[in-house]
Amino acid sequence: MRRPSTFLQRGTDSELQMTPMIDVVFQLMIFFVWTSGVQVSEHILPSRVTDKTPAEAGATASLDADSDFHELVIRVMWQGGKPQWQLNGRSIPSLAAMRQQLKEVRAIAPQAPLIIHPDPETPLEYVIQAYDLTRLIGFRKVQMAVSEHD
Amino acid sequence: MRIPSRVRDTRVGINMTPMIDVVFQLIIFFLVSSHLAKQEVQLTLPLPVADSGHQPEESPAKRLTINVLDDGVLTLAGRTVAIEELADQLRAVRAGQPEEMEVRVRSDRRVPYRRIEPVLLACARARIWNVTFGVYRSEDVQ
Repeated sequence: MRRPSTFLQRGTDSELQMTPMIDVVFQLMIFFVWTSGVQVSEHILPSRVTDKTPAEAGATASLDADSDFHELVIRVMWQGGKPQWQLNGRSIPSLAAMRQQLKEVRAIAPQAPLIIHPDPETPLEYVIQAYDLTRLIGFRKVQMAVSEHD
Repeated sequence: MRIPSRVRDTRVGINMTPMIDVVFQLIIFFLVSSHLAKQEVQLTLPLPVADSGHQPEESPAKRLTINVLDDGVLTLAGRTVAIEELADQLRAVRAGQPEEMEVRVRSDRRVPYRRIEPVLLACARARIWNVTFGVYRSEDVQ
């Protein structure tokens, strides 16, 4: 009877061990699936800045049929913990009404430049909301007004 | 009974297992460190929501990222910077960059506009007009 030699078995066992490699590959797969699943994809909103503050005269100009739409100014104000909107000095009760107004303006003057002028205390999400609205309607010349308060 | 030959027994193949272990350790190290480095530049922030946002495109323009945290702290390229120094730093970067530059503002959505305004003003002073905002799509945050 041939007795199996443990020495022989160990000596010929020079094959590639796949088990650790498979283990590590699975670890990597789990790592990538987890990290890619957690992250929300981020988008960008392009804008152009201007260093001109909208003139008070322009900001209070009424929006009527005689206006030549030189410049549209959207004010995003923050009063009592709620956002309020104005379009060229006229109060707009809601964002839906603002959308309607802007659609009408765009039908008349599609190339009208638009300036968003938020109050200092307005949270950024409402500023971006107004800016997003103008882009969705189709305005392309939209600028954010910046001014120095010091 | 056959006696095992010593010559045949000493024939050994190259043991690949430690090498594979080390290679995978290195891969994991680089993947994790690159992930952490990315997190440093792209802090997790509750960004504003905008549906007209689009996927960032690869462009040759040099891009700087400014993060605005909920307490108003600014970070430029991963380092905290005071608002008074921001314009100077942007101007210094702009001076060595003849082509158009892009500044990406990633801000907490609750931050008041008075915290964002100096950032935009600093960009305007440094003659950087191309400013983009980091946003989420509404369908991604629901």
